[in-house]
Amino acid sequence: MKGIKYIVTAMLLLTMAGCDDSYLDMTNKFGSNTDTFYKTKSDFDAAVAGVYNSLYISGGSVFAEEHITASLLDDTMLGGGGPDDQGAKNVDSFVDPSDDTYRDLWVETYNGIFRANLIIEKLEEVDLSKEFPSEAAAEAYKNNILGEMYFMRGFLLFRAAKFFGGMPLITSTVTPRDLPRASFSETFGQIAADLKMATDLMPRVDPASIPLGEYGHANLWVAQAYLARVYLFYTGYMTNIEGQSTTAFTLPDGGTISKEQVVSLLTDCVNNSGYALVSDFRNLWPYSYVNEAAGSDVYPWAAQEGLKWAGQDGFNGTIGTGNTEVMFALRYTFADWGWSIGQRTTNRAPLFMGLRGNSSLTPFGEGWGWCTIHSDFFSQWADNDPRKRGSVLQAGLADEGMSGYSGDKGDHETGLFNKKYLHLEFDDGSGMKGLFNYIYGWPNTDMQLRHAQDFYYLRFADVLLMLSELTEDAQYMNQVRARAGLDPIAYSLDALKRERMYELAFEGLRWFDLVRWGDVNDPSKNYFDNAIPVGNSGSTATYQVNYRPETKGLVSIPETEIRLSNGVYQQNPGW
Amino acid sequence: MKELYKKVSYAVLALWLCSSMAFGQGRTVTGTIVDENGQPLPGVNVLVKGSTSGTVTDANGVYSLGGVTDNTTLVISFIGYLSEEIVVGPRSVVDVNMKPDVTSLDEVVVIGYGEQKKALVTGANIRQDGSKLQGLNTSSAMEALQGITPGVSVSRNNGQPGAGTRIRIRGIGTIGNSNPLYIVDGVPVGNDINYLAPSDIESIDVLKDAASAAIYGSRGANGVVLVTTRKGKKGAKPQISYNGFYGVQNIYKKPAALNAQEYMFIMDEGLANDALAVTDWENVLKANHWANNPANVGGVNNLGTTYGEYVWNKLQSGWKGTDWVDEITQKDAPIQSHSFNITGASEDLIYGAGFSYLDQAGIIGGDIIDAGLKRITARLNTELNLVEINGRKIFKLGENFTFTNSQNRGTGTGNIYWNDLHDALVVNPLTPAYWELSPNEYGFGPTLEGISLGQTNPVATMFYRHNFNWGKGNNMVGNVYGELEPIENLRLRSSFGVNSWWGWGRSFAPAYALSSQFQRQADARSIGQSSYQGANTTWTNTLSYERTFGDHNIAVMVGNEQVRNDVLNFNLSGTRMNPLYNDPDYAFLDNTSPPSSQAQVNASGRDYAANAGGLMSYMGRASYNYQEKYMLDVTMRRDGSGYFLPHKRYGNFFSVAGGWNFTEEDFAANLSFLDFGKLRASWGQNGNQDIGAFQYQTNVEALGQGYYFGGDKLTSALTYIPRNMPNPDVGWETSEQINIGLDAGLLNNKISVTFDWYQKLTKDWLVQAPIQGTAGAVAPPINGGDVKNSGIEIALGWRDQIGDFKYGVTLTGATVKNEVVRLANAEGVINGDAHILSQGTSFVSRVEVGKPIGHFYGFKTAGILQNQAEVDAYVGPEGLPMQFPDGGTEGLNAIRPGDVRYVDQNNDGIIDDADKVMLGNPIPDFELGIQLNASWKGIYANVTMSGKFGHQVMQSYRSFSDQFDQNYTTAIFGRWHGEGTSDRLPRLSSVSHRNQRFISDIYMHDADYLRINNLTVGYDFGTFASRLGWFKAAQVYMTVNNLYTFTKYDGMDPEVTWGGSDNMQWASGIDLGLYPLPRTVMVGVNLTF
Repeated sequence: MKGIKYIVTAMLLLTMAGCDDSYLDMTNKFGSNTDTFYKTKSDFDAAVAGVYNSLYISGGSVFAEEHITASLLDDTMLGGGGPDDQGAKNVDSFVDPSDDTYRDLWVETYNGIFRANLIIEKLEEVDLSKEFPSEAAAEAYKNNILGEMYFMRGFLLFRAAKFFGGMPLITSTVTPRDLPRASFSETFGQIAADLKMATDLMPRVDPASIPLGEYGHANLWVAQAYLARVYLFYTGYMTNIEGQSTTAFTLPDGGTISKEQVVSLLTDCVNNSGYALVSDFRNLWPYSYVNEAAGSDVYPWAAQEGLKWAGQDGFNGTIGTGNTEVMFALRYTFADWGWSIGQRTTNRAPLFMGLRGNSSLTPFGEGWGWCTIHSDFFSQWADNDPRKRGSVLQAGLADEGMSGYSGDKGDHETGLFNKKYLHLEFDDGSGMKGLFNYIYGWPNTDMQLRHAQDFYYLRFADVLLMLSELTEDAQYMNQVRARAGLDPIAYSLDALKRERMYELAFEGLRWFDLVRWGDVNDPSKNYFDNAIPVGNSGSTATYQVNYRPETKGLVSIPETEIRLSNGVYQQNPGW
Repeated sequence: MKELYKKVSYAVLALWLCSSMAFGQGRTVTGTIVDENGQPLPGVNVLVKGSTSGTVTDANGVYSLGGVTDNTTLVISFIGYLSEEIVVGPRSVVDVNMKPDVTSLDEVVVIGYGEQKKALVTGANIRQDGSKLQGLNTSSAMEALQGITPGVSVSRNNGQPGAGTRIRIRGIGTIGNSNPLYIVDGVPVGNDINYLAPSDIESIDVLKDAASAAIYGSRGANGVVLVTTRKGKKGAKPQISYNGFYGVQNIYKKPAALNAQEYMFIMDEGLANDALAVTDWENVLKANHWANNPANVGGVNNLGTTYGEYVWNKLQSGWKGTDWVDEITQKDAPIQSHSFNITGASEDLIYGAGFSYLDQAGIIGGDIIDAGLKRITARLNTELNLVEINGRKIFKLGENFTFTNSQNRGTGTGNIYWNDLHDALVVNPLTPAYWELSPNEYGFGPTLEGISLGQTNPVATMFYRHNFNWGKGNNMVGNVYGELEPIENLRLRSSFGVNSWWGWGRSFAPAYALSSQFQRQADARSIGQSSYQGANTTWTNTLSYERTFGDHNIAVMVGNEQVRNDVLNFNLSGTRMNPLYNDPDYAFLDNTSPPSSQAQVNASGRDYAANAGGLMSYMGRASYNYQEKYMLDVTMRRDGSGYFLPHKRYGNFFSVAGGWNFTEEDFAANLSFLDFGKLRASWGQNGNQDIGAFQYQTNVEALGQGYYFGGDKLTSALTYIPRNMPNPDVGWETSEQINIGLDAGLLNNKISVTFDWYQKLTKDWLVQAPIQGTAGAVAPPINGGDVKNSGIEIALGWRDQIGDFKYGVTLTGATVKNEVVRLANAEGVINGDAHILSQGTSFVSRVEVGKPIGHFYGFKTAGILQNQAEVDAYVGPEGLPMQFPDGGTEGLNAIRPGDVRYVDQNNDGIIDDADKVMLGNPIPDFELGIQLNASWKGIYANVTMSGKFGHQVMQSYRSFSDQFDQNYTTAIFGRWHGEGTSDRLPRLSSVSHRNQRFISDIYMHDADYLRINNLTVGYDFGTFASRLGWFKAAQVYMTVNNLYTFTKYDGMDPEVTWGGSDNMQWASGIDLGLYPLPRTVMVGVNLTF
């Protein structure tokens, strides 16, 4: 009997032989976590790129692209597209029957903010001095990144708040995520505080000295200019939409930023940044490069006008003559359907705004025909302004190669297209490819995936126009006019408005200008309600772009976010 | 104690011996024992009643037994058959025809980590015999379970060879992985058993209730499928069998797309309805700009116009257009299967070996891209008695290994952008499949660009997508085990199992050009190569003991199991541009020019096991019964998972089950009609941990496409982002299930009944519930909900014999009611993906508290507005015309006759998202199975039918919201085109109209069906075969699979598991043109040597 006991005990032990469960402790070999990352300079550089990555809207909705939605909302562009593109027409008509049209923009905003908050917090803990020649150099690196992160946090919040109004303010990684929406003023106070912090922290860099490999980061001058842009939007909105005349930001800590501070920073930018207008407005846009890329005059008009692209890689770009004007841009590239974020790294504006159903009009390629251009706006634009033909592609013009154009393929068809962001393609003998396929040697020629054209967030021309508007001094505006070969004029707000409308047409800015000036509410100052004839996939109709004043220029808060907040978020008025 | 036991045994033995001796030396009796089909049964026990003398039948079913007198009673017994007692009398030859035991009381079934007599089972299990599954001649074993296993919902994913099945045991309890756990010979093998040939399978046991599955703890929440592969039976002589069949497959129900004339008519009707000019077809056909450019088509001038003229002239001469479904399908696509099995046993060795070959062509693309599945399996199972002491075998060593090699070239069967059948349904019939003058080297007809740039030739699309991909996969699954039995009935068993897979792929992307949008240029050609290998291991140690104390029988088992993922996994793949040879045979990476830019190379490598992890488990079971009358089973399992942090790592799962064989009671003796009856009740818990690793922390990961600083647009800056919000407290999901069941046999076991009722509550459901956008990263899985499934399952059998005519009927039925009880976020809702039925449409499937998982959600309709009066009466509560914010009611959107009357659920006069409701449910309320079998002399016939009832399917065969030029099926003839012509399908339109664009019940169809899965008729040569000498048994048969489907559903097949996206395993019932099941007619032969 004793023997049995031993046998049983021994066998039980054998049964439980390998009971060391340490193999359950897993290590992630294909990623780090918040405790193990953020230790070295290269960690921070990669994390900073992660914040910029939220400029691509990973959720994928095209209505989360600010330049496309702002174009649909404004008065100079129609909905367009094909019969299925009801979404574009809804945005254009200021209706929103879907729950979540803008949810991706909302979500991506906070993705970026969370990433920036992590960096801000981790920078405070980390000692990078070993990686730098001196303590001071390490400190300078940290300050620059900190400034960049405050800028990006402000930038992302502004990108969303100018559409949504007040937003929940998530200012650290431990901030509760179920906060209610802050007021419009609180939100813009936070944005201003972040941008101001960025201007305090970042060094006075010479843009000409930025190496090509680092082009694309925000810098001090960009932060200064954005503070002015935010100031103009916020004070204009409060004054003209809310009817509460406002001239300063109220910061979260109770302080303020006055107009004088903003003007002084913007003046610094104009005088000292080193940015300058490029010589020809049309050289800002890639159509000016088609002939050079093709090695032949596939675009006769550009040859005849002697256009030479400034490129899109800053002062030191190797493609084009060098771009001294663009201060901040969304760095788009190619895309691949096999990628996890599919199409989102490529600029969808040239695709969505391309010629619908027309595939043989070199150098203009096919697209979905969105955001066709208002014919009244076009016809009132003086022909002697070279920016007119530099910005608008007109159907039927033989020297544009548009004589074979058929206008029965899309809706809201006016025969007028956004030339600044337009699908360009040609055949140099090796097959029909997109302009950027040739420039960069990208092999995938899928017409939906080849729009490696940056979207320009901020040009120096805008900085000049903002300074004129803030100081009511015509000299800056006249620099912009002079570049277009136009005579100087005296300052008036109306003149300034007209100048902005033409200089910055189709660049995603017009809508916010209309709102802040209160001009959305004044039919004499906009093209809303101007009924014009359009083609709707072959039939003719009249159409007008709509705006509803009860919305106060804001779009709808995503219904899903309202539900997930358990009703803490209030829907915007009019939605 | 042990000594006493021995002594008693010897005494009993001696008594038996004496009693048989008393009758003295008798004579010898011989005979042949055959089964119900007249086939000889080897290995049958023939015993002299009341003695120990006896014998077993040989391979021919023949026995010979000496020492028999006239008064001797022979007891003839064999597992699975009713024992017979026969008084010998004066006969010298006693042949016996054995009857199968319907209730199979002595049948042993496989339970977790052991076996149990079926009579003692307290849970809800189903056992299916491998030979029965093989008899259904399906290419995978799980397919054969359809309609014969109540409570196990078997759906074929689609008709593509190797497409697999979707198994849901007792409903769907989670929105993650709902597949059951598959255990083959003790080794967990992943999400299916398609690597096994049906001929390799001895039996499949399905554990449905939680008490049975609880011994598998963590992974048993979706049920457990236990597979035993074939091996010899103790004492059986070597037996070699061959089963082969050859058949042809054809599309069973072809969807009728419109022909050329119908297409043009319907397209123009849409335009006319919108007061637009109808199409100038001649000009449209000739508007082929791309082909008109000589540079694109090898220097030919105006080839596009020539092409258009060719098509136009053909139409003038009465051509009906291309029938694309015909073009892509293969008629009489062959299928053949050959399998050999060898089983046998000697004193110290039990063995089983198998080899099989399956070659099944796909009915789609079979002859164009050589689509189909080729599978070879080879298996060897052995068990060896190594050490024997005092006549008792105390150490056994065994192994089971199956090797599979398969090659499968499929066609696209996914969403609307990856579905070759969908393409065939939507591309206009005017495009010729082939054209003599085509610039394409294979002669494919180019795109008719005037109709649509996107409607490319579906044959060409399929060809260029699939024809230049090759791949082979291998699996090796098996285990090695040793069993030590130092004391009688005390067994220590240690098994080391391995599940491994490896293979390679190769691809060539050739240049081609058929239109401006359907081409690949020479400098974009590429070559790809990939390889993978992986394995995980399971080490199981169990200690078991069983003993009888008078009327009390106990059996206990304790054990430990380790599943480790960190063994061997390796994935490598690469593509390079610029092939050196324009020949797919030379498609290897080294046959490329050196890359001139990074964009020309793509490589990736990963070891999926590098993170380590796995499961550590402890389990125990105690079973007790009193006189085999009252049974009680208790199990416990403790599982640790690497997916959870130490404080949440281990989960404990318990179960208790009882049974009562009430026919053993005295009162039952009077119930002469009742042969057998058992009541069962159980309660148990199972877990689920299937969430992936590292969800408890915020992972910071590199992005494949980061941010593009600098001048390089081809390579992004190194970019890291925090990927997810953490949930350090994430832990086990638990499902609890109550089961009450009854088994009975009546009227001499002519009638058998099994009944079960269950209720399964999944608690702490692991769900990635949507969180507020302010979080800043994706939601972590939380233990955030409860799901309830409940239902009843019935199996009724009847079998009888009238003279030589024997027949049997089995009916099975199961109900499932699924309901989400709790979802722990404010919204209580998870929506599916949008753009499923068509680009530009809203989501279709939804998870919501109080509703079934994956129900359809959208607008209810109330018919079609037939005339202006009805249009005028379609108003909101204020009497104003109904408002439609999406699209408005201006111009072409004005409400008019022929429009859909959407129901304004909240009665606010506006049709918007607030009016959407649950429309239907893709989960059947009731599943039915019918099996009929009959035999007369050697002729036999079997029919298997299965049906599902009460569910709906969302059907869309065209991208109705954005591609108006796409073709329709003839179902469109049922549209509204004048008052009274239709009350379901709205008028046609040339634009995206809410009539089509809104997801509504006009796309929903009831999909009740009853299918004749299998009809087999055959002839069994019976003993005639053995008289021929060189084989023992032979059968020939003819089988039709998927013979007929009774359904009102107008699609190709009412069985639709596809949920519209691979991201949504919880969704189903979306029919976008599903690869249909073929109807297969085959002839086969079974030979036993």
